[in-house]
Amino acid sequence: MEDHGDLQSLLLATKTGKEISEYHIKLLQKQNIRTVEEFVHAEKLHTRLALSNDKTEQIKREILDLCVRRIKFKAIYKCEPITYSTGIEELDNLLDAIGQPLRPGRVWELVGENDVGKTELLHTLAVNFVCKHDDNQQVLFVDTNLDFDSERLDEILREKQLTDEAIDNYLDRISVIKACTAEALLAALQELLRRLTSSKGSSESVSDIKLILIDSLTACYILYRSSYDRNKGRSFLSELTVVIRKLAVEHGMAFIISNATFSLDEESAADDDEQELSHIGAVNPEDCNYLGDYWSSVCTLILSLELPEDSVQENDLRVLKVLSNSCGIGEGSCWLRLTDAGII
Amino acid sequence: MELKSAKCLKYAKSANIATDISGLDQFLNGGLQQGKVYELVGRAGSGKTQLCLRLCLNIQLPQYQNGSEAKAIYFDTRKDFDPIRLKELAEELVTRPSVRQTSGLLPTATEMLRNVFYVNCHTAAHLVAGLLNCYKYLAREPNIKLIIVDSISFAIRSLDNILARTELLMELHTVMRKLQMKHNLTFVLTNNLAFRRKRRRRFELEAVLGQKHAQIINKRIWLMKNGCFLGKWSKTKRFICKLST
Repeated sequence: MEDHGDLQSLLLATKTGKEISEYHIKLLQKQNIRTVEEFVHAEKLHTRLALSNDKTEQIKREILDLCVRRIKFKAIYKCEPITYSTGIEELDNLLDAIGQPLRPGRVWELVGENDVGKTELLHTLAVNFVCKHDDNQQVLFVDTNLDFDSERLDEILREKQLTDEAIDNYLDRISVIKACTAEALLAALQELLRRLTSSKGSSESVSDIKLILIDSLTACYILYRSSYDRNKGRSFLSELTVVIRKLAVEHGMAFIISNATFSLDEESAADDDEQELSHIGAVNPEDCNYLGDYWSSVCTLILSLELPEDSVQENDLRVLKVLSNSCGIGEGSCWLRLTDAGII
Repeated sequence: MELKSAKCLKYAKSANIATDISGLDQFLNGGLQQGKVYELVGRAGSGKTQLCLRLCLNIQLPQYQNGSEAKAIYFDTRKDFDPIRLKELAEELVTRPSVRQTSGLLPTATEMLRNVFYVNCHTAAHLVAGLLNCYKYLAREPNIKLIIVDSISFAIRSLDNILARTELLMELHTVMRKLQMKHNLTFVLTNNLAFRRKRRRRFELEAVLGQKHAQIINKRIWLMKNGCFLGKWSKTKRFICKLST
């Protein structure tokens, strides 16, 4: 009966709705119209209620107006705009400029050719996140290529001139999962979701995880060879998307997912190895992204890490470009440098 | 789901395998880490096989010598493996002053040779079969921590059909991944270099076997005339140290 009360109170809240009498409301009850949805979709409502068509339409419009605004308000109240800093000044400026700071619930993708520094950037982000954000917020590093290196984290922290105790403290807040296949990756995230929902309110450590770094998504497809396997990989991908979305929306976790791109060589393949690539088939010729259109709609911001063109001597400079941004300006770039202290 | 904190991982680390290239060891904090896939590339005669043999011996050093007292398997596809050379290296290692000083229970050269298992693979099929059988060897000798494949490119490139090459390569990687997840093994592969045509008709020396392969391996070590480099492509590789021969 709550719904009905809801409809009734809503009706009374609208200007024209106030004018209808108790009798009409009882009529609605009789006709089994209890929710706003039923009210709006009910056929021939004006004859049923013995009101003029204009008047019912007016009520419908006002009630819809009210509902929509309600949702808006709710949404605004729900999200408290906490902004995480990435700890990389240049990157923060860039993100500010395009109006996409790192916030809870954001899902980003970081693409780049292999060996360009994606893993390094994720390591740096993990360290920066735990250093910048106190009160026990944790980072989860999902390692699919066995690239995670705790010594590297240790080095980056050591460059920050911290004591051993502080370093250990920070390292303690970075958790790692090894998941070498799509199945394992999916299972791990589902497990995480399950634990989160079952342990609401309790002080288990998983609920402190605020940022999830996935390095890298290649596991979803790289070892799948036959076309059957490849389709399986895609189905994993869509399941993965669902889990990621859930984690992001319900638990406010930010995701940064790295993904390798494979460039086809400019000229027709000179070495036999290039031809291997073109045989794989799932390659989209334009951006060489393996994962298809559906995946590209998942992430709200796609950043691409590239080698600067015409760099001859200095090979520790990188350009970070915004490939696509689903809210705000879709262009921009910044320079990053690989150093012993991570990426700055 | 196994959640481990980075702190635990840091302390649970087992010793790295020294490469005996001092600059490289320094850069890698003492050598090759366990549980990763390394690739050695270089032109013919740059010392890839030699380094592989050395790694087989260095992993056997006792723990106080920064070794891990483990054993190694050597998959040979080119018949490059030379037991006499291995013995020489082992004798050299045992008599090395830094090793001798602390020697208490140091294995002798012959004992060291006994801890290197050799698998000869004439063809790519043998290599796959050998790797698939690894779990048997590992069941018998659980202390095997290092698997060397010398050379992976030779086996793969002996196939004519390019599709078959990719298939086989990915098959190999799948098998290696599975073993790795189960036993925390270190893999060392060796690979060749070839000139590849780049933009504006420039040729550049790159490792063969393509980009997917490069994605899967963790680190690629270049042994070149002008020094030792680390990085996956000639564009992104970084100079580490000079090589002394």
